[in-house]
Amino acid sequence: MAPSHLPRFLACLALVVTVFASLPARAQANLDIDTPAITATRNAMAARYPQLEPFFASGAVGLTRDGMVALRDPNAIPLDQRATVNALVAQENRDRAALYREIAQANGHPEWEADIRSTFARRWIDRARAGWWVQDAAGGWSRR
Amino acid sequence: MPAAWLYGVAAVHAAELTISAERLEGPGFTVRSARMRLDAREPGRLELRLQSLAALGREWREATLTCDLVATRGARIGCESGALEVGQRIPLRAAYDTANGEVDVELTPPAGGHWRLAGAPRAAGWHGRLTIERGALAAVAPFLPPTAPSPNAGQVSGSIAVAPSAGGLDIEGALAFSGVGFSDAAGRAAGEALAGEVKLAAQIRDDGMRYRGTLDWQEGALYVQPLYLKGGQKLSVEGAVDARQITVEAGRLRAGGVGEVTFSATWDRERGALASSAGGAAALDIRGVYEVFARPALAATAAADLTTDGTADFGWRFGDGALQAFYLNLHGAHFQDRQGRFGLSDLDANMPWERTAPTQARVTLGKGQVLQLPVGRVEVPMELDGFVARVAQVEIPVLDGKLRMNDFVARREDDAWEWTFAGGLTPVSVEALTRALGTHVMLGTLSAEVPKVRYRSSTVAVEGALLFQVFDGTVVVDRLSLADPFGSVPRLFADVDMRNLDLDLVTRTFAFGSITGRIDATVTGLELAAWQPVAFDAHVDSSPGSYPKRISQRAVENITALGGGSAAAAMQRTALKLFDTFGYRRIGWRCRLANGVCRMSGIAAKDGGYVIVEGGGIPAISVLGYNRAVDWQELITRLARVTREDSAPTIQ
Repeated sequence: MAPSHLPRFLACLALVVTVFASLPARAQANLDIDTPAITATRNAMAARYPQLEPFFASGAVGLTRDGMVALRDPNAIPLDQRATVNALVAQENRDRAALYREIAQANGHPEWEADIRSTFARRWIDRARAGWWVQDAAGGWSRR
Repeated sequence: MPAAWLYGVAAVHAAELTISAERLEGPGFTVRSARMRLDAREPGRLELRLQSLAALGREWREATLTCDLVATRGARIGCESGALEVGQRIPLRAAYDTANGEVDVELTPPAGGHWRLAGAPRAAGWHGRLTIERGALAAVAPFLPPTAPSPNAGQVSGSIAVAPSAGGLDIEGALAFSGVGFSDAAGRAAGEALAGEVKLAAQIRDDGMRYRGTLDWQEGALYVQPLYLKGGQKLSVEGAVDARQITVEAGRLRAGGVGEVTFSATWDRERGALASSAGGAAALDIRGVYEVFARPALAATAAADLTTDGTADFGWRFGDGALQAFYLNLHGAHFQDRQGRFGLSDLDANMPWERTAPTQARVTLGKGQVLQLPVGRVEVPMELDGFVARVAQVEIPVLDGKLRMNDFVARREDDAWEWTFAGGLTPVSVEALTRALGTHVMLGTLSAEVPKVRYRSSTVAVEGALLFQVFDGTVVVDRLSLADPFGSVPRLFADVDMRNLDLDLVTRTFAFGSITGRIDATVTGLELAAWQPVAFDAHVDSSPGSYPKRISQRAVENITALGGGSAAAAMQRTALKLFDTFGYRRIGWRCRLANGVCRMSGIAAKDGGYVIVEGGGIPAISVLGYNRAVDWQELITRLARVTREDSAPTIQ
């Protein structure tokens, strides 16, 4: 091999090794892994869901592209419930952030947090009920 | 525009008059390309076209005013079936008396209602009156600045009069409104079905204005993030406005079912900030304060569902850009969670605070309750000094003992509170404690010495060791900390060292079968997440020393079950059927929990397993475990099964 080809060859090799080293690792991420922290967080979210559900349905709250929930149309919320919905959204997002972090940690790879978050974001949006509002990759809102 | 209008009328003798201007500017408005055409022949016609009109933060293109002119009774000029077109077409009627200068303009916007502006020049100056009959507020929306909350429903009736007075102008008016709704784009401020009355009187002079006004808000609801308020409030203000500041000299808010707050304030117009303020209230109804003001904002918190009672006084003084003094007094206050999680009764407080001088405060709690634990009378004398609060000593009666706090210091730094205290617990009956908490009833007493507790960045940490006495032995808890205690996932870390626990008391408590003897247990690196163990390294070992060591048939069965079944040798199984209790020499068990799996071992390895109970005496029995890795949840399930009172031991 000519010496001038060596750096390119090494660069290609490094790229291939990196891709193959990371692919199986990502494929192995267990999103349904269970730890007491994950269970507690899921339970808190499940307990909150009946309170949030009417606001997903009315379009006041929507699912964002980064795996969170957002107040999309506050004017769709009765006045006496606006403070409550604000607090529910803040609590839900705190739990969602904790869930992604805990799942990454339980998989032994804290650095996967961003990937896990985006995988969950797709999951939430795919499973959104008809009539719910979801955010597309560009940040625009659309109705399912 | 009025000037142009008058000028046009003054030129009425000419047959046709056209005036154009490229640009007109006045206070708060700019007109581009104005063109007025006046045809004075009978019937006459006035036409005013503006290419654009910018005012009130908005811009209208192609604004036009047209009307057919009718001159009647000589001096009077009428503008019949006119129209103002600014985005919408507003029918208009106007009249002008050239003899005495009287102007009368009527607008009937398509949104509804009738607006009439009438005025005339007098020797002293202009008199005028705006009268509105069921005027739809939606008609006003296009004329408000785009950033302002926009009215979307409701109507207003009433009149505002302007009259000259010595050196200036007097304004007086009263407007009744009903069914008013408004909202801003971001949803931070909105109103629904608002009804009430506004009264305003003002005297405008060259050097400023004096005003007096009342707002009687009777019905409807208002949301101003994060507050949700209902009608039944009355606000009155009196003060002055000049170029430098807006002053409320006497303000009074009467809130229905709550009480009355009086206040004064000065707003610095140059800096755009509050310059000073003071006020207060006496004997406010705490129930009203909670229901009207606090509850909607606390909706998603632990304080969302309280019954409350008592009265409160408070006051404040603000100046030099900061709160200078504040006081809060509570009289016979009562806060009880409807779900029974906590309660405070007969709470009295006297809390004065000053920014620059230390003050003495006192809080007295008649009785309270946390979870199921009753708390007796507590007196808290407090020293407040800026953002530091100190309590020398507090004793909190808990069951038959006392929780003592010494040298409590709370301080706020970088907008976050941190606090420390030392303390202890004088002996509390563990039986009474466990009964109150509704857990397994245990025997013994609990006492503790707490060297130092520190709270900082949402973590409570104990510096030094906690000492408990329970099951006739001692428990030392070291390196105890609790992170995020109020979050979804509280995390607790600790090392626990237990010495000389009476196994008889322990096993009787948990209906495990009976074991006589004593054990030492150490748990290092204990971590609980949401109160569930996620990691620890635990050793259990018989305590050194001489004491009777007997183990019951049922306890043997249960230990065998935990160790993975089929543990006892065939010979021992025969023995199990013959005797109720057995002698043993030593008990030893270790579980290292990580990633949901408990790795177990015992005193020594034997026959492919490990020894948990080593036999000794007559009749003797050994218990062996064979499972070296058990799923933690599975182990808990087994433990729950064997400690159920009704579970009968099965002998294979």
